[in-house]
Amino acid sequence: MKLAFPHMGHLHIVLKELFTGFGCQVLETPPITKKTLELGAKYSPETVCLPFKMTLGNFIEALEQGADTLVTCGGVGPCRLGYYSEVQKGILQQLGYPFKLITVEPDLIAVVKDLRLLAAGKSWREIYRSFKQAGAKMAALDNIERQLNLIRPREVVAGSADQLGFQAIQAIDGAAGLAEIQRIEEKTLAALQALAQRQYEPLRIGLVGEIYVMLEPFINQDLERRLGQMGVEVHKTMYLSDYVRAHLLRKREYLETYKTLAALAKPYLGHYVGGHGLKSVARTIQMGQQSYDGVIQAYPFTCMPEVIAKNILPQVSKDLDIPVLTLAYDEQSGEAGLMTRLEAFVDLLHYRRRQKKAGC
Amino acid sequence: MKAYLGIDVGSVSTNITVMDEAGAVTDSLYVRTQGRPILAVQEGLRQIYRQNSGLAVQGVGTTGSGRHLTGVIVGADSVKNEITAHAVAAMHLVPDVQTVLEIGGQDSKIIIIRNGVVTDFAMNTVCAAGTGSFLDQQAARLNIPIEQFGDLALESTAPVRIAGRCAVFAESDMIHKQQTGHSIQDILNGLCQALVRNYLNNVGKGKPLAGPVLFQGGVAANKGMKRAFEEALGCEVIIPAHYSVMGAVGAALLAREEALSGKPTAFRGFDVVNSEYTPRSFECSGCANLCEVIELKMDGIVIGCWGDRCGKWSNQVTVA
Repeated sequence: MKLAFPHMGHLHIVLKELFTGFGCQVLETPPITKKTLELGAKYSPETVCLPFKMTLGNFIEALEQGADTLVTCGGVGPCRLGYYSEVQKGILQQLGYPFKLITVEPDLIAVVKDLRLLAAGKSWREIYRSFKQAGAKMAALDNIERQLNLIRPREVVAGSADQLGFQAIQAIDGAAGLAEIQRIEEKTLAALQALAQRQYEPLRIGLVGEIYVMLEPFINQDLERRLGQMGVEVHKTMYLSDYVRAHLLRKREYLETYKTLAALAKPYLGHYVGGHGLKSVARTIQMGQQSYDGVIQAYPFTCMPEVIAKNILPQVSKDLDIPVLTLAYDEQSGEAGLMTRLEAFVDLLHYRRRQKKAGC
Repeated sequence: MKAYLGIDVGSVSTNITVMDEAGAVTDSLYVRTQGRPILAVQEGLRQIYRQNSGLAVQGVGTTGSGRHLTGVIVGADSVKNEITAHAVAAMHLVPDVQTVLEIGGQDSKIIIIRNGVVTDFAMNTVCAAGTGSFLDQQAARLNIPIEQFGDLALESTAPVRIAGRCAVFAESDMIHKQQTGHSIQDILNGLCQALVRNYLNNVGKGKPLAGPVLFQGGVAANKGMKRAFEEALGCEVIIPAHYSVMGAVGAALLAREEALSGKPTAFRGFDVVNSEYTPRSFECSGCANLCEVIELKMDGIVIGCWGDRCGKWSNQVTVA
């Protein structure tokens, strides 16, 4: 069996650790390139969202490399993603590939059952250890990414933080054992902190929106890094570990957070609309209360939950006096248009800050 | 004369303005880019140099979609996006402006200003209907010089409703109206109204549009569009004196701001019109990103590189 899964940020490092620990042979899906997107878009329905097209492209490239088992995620709507695995299965079968597709539904018991099948012959202890180790890699990668977002706007030598980050990702990918993962994480965080930094208060921008677009830099056109280079401290409201803890493990603290967020959003949006729509609204309110300079909402074009949020955000923006920039991505997205919008948004926030300072 | 230059390199036109120290525009130029931004900038600067003797350039600002390329070519002190440039120019000419409508060759934007600060903006996202290029194309199809488009639209006597949601459908709807015998004047006016409707629904959606309203960009020359905006908004729409070169006016103002902070200008001088610039692009195969890298040579020497995500190429250049 040769197992493959789609890309989403550094998800592949985490899943590779997990499945290798199960005793599966993991085939690394070729990294996302323009060709992946072209392939995906070619065989996808036109109006489906970008995550569908991209992951389909990933699957085709993995199958071409000899993968025979694909792992993807399911869902329970109203976001369309829940149905994607079925549609993609049909498309790939029509293209004539022989493969088995395992859809992981967001339900811990089902997940364990699915994974038990993959880890045939492994003891529960070994399975637990794989989970533990994959979880450690995920947490380490997220912590480093979070730190990168803080250091990037302050670094004196452009690109120095990203260089450390890049090395750390590679090292974590190759690390074996919890102790080594922890050592790399600590070393990287310390090295980032020790970089030459400018002393000033950068703009603080919150990033909300759909998870795939937020986590995959190829898709969001390096949004976090671009903003960092423009002197913006980016606060991403969702990392991979947040998603896993909240949606798969249903940790108590995350359920509590969700309740708080739902209460915040209530005056604007009274119920779950699928995906992360409600959270986008709630987080914007929260960041308005916490005097962030601005919020950027990023999502794939035609994403239903985020379109609902998008139409609510102007009112939130007005009530809480926090500027919001909305970015919808599809395969046609040009770089120049993005840069113009980001630059103008950053200018706007700088002017506002100066005016606020002058006013008080 | 001590002066500041503003250069706006857009999809359709390249505009240059000369500004004196007090901030008054003393000369301006509007040339077609025609897909050759470098030649357009060189030609524009050549004309500016010819028309203005004894210019002592204190600062240069660039804006528009070609701002980075042009910034490297001329040696710019300020390289700013067109939204900021347009807002700065609008506030300079009409200090109490609250709304800026701007329609250019391929994009249209709206800028909301309160108390001298940009508070909100929007650009057209997925559709180019209602921009200058479409009007250009329709005028050409009807064999009407674009300069007469507006005057003809004003002669309209009966309203004709054109579907303006999409440029392609607008065109087929216009043809349909022609074939059923409506006058050209009425159709042109109907088109203006449709484009304004589309603009306000798309770009201006949900924005508080308060006066004074400024209408700028190349399309502001079209009197039919001005009237259609006034009808839709129910207030007067002001067209500033330098409406077609407002981006360049803003760029010059931003360059002046930069120069006043005491930095000497990076301007390479008017000699750049005689230099030979050769850009080339290639796909970097260093990693899976396959970035499209652009390299710009000036008289055989590499002066700029961009488009790479990692800095492998752009960090090599020290001359720029």
